[in-house]
Amino acid sequence: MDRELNQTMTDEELVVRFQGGDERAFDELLRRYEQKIRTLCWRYLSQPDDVEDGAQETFIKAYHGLKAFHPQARFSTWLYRIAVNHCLNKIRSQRRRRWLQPFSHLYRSDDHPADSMEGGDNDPLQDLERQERIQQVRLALAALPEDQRTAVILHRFEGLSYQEIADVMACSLSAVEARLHRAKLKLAGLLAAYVEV
Amino acid sequence: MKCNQVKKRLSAYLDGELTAAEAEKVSDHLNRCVGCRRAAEQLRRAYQRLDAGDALPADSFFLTRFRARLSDLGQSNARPYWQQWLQRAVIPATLAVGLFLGMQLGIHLQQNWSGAQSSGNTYIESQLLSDMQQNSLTAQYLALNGWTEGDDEE
Repeated sequence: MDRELNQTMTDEELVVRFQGGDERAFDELLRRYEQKIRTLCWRYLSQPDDVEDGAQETFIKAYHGLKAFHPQARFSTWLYRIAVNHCLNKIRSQRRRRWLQPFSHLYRSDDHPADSMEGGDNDPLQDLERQERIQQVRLALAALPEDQRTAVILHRFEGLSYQEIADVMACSLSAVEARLHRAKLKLAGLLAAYVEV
Repeated sequence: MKCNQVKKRLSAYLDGELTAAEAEKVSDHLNRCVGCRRAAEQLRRAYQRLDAGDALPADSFFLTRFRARLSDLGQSNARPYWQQWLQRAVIPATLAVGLFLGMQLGIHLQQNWSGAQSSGNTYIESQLLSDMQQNSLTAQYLALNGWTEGDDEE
């Protein structure tokens, strides 16, 4: 199976091929979702090592779990669910260990993945303002309860529909709507300084 | 629709997630209600300003790193269970044994050192006492002046 053939196949067709023993089908799935999953992990986790580890773990779990995957479900939804669960578990374990490392925030790594993001306009002042805005958004998102934060990340940044978010979060459509509504109200308050009314 | 009903559906309305009929009802209400219109505008602006940065760039070496890690995991899983268990147990066991031996050595050295020190002290003290008895200060003073004890009596 060559690369061109791979690119014309749907995710679900690739899953079936992988389940039939074709390892290269998984490589193609990884190529398709590597950037999205790494970015999703970066939305949750601040340390570059955690982002890399989160993305790697997501694909390793997917690799081992894909044999039992039912092709009628969407692969992307399933993969997002693995990544979100991993990130939330990581955040919970970090929260539990925080009392052991009370000064860890003082020596955070400087080589943040965001530094290598595309689309920089090379104006140092604008870059600085943008980095500050991004930091404010990260803090505001971190202040949201887990379920609301996940709904916002999947909707606003990953562009998932309400139904897809409901599938990832394993909840009802109305629950997604309520979570997003409450999150937006809270964010409007938290980001009031950045919102011109 | 009433204001409280509209406000609950505003988020879905702004995201285009309502059915055409529901969206029309909300839209009609917003045209008539200034308060709800203001609330909708505030939500829309807050969400629009929610900039968490662009996506990370694609990483062409991610697949290579993934395959390497998968291979490592495969090799470690291929080993028999007892071997994996032994590998996991070696470091903590070595540390525990090292700690135990270090403590024993410390206790042993401390006991020997304090024993030697106390026996040394006892020896010095007994020597001093003996010297003092044999050469009392009076006797030394008289010896310096060329006298011996008992000269006065003569």
